[in-house]
Amino acid sequence: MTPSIHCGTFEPENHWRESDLAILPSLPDPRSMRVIEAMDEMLFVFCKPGDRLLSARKMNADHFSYLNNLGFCFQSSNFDIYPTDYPTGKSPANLFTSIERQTEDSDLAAFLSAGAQLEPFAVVPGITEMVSRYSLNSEFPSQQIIRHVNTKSYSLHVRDALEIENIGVVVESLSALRDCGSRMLASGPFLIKDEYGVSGKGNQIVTQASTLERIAGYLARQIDAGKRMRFVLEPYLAKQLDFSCQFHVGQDGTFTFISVQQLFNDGLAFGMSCSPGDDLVAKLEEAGYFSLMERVGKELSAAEYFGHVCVDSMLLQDDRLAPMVEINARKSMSLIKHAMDGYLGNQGQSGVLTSVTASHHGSMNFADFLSLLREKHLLYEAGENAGILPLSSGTLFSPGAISEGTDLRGRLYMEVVGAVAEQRTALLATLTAEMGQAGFRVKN
Amino acid sequence: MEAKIVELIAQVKGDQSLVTRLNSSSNLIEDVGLDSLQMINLILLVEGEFGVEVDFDTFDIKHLRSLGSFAEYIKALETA
Repeated sequence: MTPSIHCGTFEPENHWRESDLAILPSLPDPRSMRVIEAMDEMLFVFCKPGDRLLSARKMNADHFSYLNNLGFCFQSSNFDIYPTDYPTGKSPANLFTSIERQTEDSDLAAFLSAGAQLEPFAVVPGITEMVSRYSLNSEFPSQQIIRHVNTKSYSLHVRDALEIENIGVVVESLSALRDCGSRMLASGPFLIKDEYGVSGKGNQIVTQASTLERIAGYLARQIDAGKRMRFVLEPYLAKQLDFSCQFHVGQDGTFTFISVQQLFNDGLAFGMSCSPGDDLVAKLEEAGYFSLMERVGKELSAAEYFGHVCVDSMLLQDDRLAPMVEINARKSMSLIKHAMDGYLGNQGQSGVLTSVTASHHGSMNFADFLSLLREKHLLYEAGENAGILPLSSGTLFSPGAISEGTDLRGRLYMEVVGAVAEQRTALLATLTAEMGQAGFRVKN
Repeated sequence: MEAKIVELIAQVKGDQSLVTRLNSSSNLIEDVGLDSLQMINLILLVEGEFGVEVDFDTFDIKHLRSLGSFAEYIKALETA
């Protein structure tokens, strides 16, 4: 059977945004880039026996062995694609353009093997060139289509097309930003959304007129320098809970529902992904949410998109549904959670996907960390019914940080396995306490 | 100034307990847990409160290593 090669670049929105678009205020954070660049390790969850994981940096051998012992059968790439020194830009690297820039690599060519199916996290620039260069057997929508359907303004267009209440407005000039922003501010805080904003970034909450004016001033300097403006403004909604729907649109337009996952976000950023309760599912069924998602799929197909989709949705505090906050035409953390549900379901277990951000001074490596979890009876092992299942190692122990003379800061992505919420909460509390004892500084 | 900045941090994080928990040496990233969006929100609020303007393109994240160092940085902008 032809193997699938699972690979990709997280936060692909950074690679879709046009370079002439003005940006909201942002701060460079090289340490967070290292985490993003190692998140591709988690794509092992999609590997079927015989499949391959092409990660940008070679996966930690102890982690690979641990996952194998749990029954995840895949081959991992045993070479680095990204260099260990880091650029100082604001965006993490793109796997496919990095490969494109390199001379043809025999290790990579052997790993990919002609005819294999490429299964990327997202379709970002450089992927078509890689498919052609290594004779892979994959088709993707064009970058133009991918960019279009991943913009916030396209999500607004689909809301209108499906007659979903649309509270968003596209602004393309400073005067429109000031006028529309001031009107929204009269009723409460609002969000300025970058066309390609990702969770926790590219969305600016405006709570006061001085902030709106400050942002307008920041953008004005970019406009003067030749950039163009395109943002979506939306009133900041008081939400009860976040959730998302994962589905797949086939090349022939076939809609395949995959899952709904409830999200416990940290502000606007990803926090924890859990299976939804029966009450939420019943509410969604009653509101026609699932048939609406099918219609979103049809719109995407009409726009010539095919592939994975994750639609972000919200239940508002007044119990109203905001069914389509935005469309993400790519795989997602919630899809990773769904894949873990499948694995754990086969073992008669369940769990949640979450992360812990922590730093330390470099005295520990991932093998030590696994040993610590084992020693403290925290590590999920085959046959057990609870524990911490690390999904990534390079996100917590990324190369390069120590040489900077600063603390090594990273993030552990994990599945917290346990049937009941109290058990999972206790596991997380013990994990952070033990990490603290072991010299980690765990982020609040 | 530090007390006012702590109030603004509590506002950004939506956690009033920070008002009593933070001190001059608190690390705004590690201890407070500010993410990139929250950092921007804090800076925008601080700018409005103290009438200063931060240059986002050259801002060094090291200024957020402690409440005290961030306050010193804002003070320097006030007197610039």
